[in-house]
Amino acid sequence: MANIDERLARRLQRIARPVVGPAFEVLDRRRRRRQRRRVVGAGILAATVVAGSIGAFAIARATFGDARPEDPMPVDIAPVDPGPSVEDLPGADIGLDFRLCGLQRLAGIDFFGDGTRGIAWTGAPLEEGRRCPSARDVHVVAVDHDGDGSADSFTYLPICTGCRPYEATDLGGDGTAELVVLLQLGSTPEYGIFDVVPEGLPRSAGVVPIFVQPPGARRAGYPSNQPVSLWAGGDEGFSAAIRCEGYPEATELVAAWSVYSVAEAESDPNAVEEFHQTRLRLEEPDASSASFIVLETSSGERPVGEGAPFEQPPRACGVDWAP
Amino acid sequence: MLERPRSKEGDRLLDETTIRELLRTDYARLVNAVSLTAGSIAAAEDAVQEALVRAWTSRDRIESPTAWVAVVAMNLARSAWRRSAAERRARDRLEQPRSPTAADLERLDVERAVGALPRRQREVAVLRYFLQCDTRETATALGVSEGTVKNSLSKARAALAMTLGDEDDLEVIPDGEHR
Repeated sequence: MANIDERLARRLQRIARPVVGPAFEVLDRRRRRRQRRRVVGAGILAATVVAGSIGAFAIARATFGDARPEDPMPVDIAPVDPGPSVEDLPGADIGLDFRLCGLQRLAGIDFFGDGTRGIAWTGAPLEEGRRCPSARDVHVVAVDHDGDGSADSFTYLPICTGCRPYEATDLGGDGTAELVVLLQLGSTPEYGIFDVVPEGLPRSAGVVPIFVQPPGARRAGYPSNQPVSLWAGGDEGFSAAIRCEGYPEATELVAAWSVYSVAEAESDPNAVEEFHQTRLRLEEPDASSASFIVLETSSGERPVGEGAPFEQPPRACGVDWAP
Repeated sequence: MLERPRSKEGDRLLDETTIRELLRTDYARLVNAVSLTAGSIAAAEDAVQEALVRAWTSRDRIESPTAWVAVVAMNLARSAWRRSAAERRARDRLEQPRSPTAADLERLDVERAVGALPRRQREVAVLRYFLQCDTRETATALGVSEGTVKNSLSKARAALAMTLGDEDDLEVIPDGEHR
């Protein structure tokens, strides 16, 4: 008689489903995307290109005008017309060394607290000779700190499902605005927070994702040395909320979420959900570095269905996190 | 900018050949193994692919790539945003409802039995029974002692045998006889 381990192994392996692995190239593309995500400070290169490209600047001005609205307002820019003009205008030029498809814009952002109104965009880089929508599934966030319509810098987004520059708000209490980018649109929107830092060159600035300082709170979704992500809203099995305390002088973000297995909850009346609550503060020791520190975190389990540990306020830190 | 710690000089990094080999030989069973804890094949696929990429780009020393990828994928599958993204994709792939087959019911039994185990026991059981990792590999991948693995496996074995097996399955095998 086979021993129990062999029998259990056979029993588990018997339920295996046929799975076709991805082509190696799929994995390679994913690896390259992952590496690109780490590329920050690309603004130096972008700004150099921009500075030498008067034509691109002119096109960007022609495309976006001299828009300097007083209040940040997301504006959808139709990058292409699906008709004949596609050939003539394949994507939008914002002064980077590539055009962008699916451009989204947020204007009127005071990145440096000096009253200058800047702009942020998201979009998908257009490959040369192609038309929108871009075949590439990478997206970037780009910024123009002085609002002249020409981007100073860009960096890659880790994920984009209906992404756009969402809001600008001062999370660090130093009078400068951090950029909130909506990464995933849906019932559970996910946000990334970006810092815009001066990079030394005339009219240039870098846009970088804000990371979590060690030790972070891995279990609660805030691992150290990773860009911070915030969630709000919820769907079946998942619920999240963000609240803000001490805003704007001594802001602390409290992020909470809970999750359970829907299948388990249906079959087990005693099913539990795990919940996490983390208090974060943005540290900005100087103009060029910012990171979140985890002040406290708590995790646990409780009966299914209690929702997020607290109700989502209409606005927190000046941002409507659950539109 | 914060950077992740680099490995010590001389540590072995996984090269493209190793990744290709893992993809060819272990991908399907890794996905099936992780799906036992992830809740769906779609979520497991997403997590395994991400874990393979992390293994490829890792600066850490990886002794047993299969076990390492499995553990990382199981951890990834637990994260909420990945779960929600994967479920959205899974929902897109949903077909019309159909009557469950015997294989479906068998799978459901096993998933429930494994899913009912505490996290550590579940991970040990998947690594041991599904991926055939030995005690040392399992301990290394999970970052625990071999004693912890044996202890967890012993409890998982008893629970699984009770849930899935017949009377004979309750036969106890001393830990020393395991691989």
